[in-house]
Amino acid sequence: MRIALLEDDRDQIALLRGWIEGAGHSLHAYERGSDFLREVARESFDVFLLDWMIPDKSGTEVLAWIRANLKERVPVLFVTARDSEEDIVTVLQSGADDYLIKPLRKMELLARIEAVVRRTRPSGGRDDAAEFGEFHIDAARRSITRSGEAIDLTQKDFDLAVFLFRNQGRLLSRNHLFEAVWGKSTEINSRTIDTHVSRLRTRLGLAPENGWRLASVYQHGYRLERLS
Amino acid sequence: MPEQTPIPIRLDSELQAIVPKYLANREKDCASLREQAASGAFADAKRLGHNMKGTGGGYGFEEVSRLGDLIELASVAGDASRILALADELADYLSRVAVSYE
Repeated sequence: MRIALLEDDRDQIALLRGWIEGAGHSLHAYERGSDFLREVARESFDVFLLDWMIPDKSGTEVLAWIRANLKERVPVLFVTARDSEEDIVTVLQSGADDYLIKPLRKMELLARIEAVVRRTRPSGGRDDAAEFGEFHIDAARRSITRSGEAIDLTQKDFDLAVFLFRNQGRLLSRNHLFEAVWGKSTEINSRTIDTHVSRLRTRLGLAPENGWRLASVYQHGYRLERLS
Repeated sequence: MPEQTPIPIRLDSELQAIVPKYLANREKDCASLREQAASGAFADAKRLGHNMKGTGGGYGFEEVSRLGDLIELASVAGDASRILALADELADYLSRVAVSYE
């Protein structure tokens, strides 16, 4: 998962980075609310973690902006040392999906992140085998068929296809696709994603006449949609 | 004479890379708290206490969270002498903590 964190305490960021990246997710941390909002407006993320007391914008202000302005309903977990019942109720009623009180516990944090994503995207599961229209994808066997006919894909094309199908309907930024398929630490030309997407479009027949659209959204990324 | 009995803390090895810096930052906090108490900068002291409360337990130092909570409360009350006493308590704790890793 790709996670955006709003937190101004660098010791807290270091701790959460170790836990979250150790669990195989990627963490993008922002110490200022303005930087956080700028990034989430142009990038895609799976989860937001928000602290409350940030110097330039409070976590509640950021939450309000997210719920008012982002088309996608990204799950939000508040992570804060504020522990009054009033605070918890205020934040949950304002649109947060969960509220964790610091100091955090590693396994609880990771479990709650997974739980909130599961609630938000129940169909985006990580089942080894799944059907997407006429496509059958078996991640364990690394096979994909279309109407029963096997399609031969490279390793990265397969990983990209799986990610796109599991996130059908979501606008995914190039960086998000890049991290999910190639990993955060890999140095790669961003045009490579465009090349792989183009190849997938052809190999899988993802075209409107076949009931699918794998569209490029200018300055944002890509969205795979099933057309009715 | 303050007690010098070591306080053994056993942590996951995954924390080994970040704990030394965390403890060093808490030692800096002791100095900052003394300055803030002396100058009446209670908002700054409150913030330090709040952050300590929020991080201590996660790193494995519950005592840091406990002291951070008390520092935050003392700062809200504008109690400089209490903040100084808590800074001393934190410094004593940090001097005695003996970290090992699993």
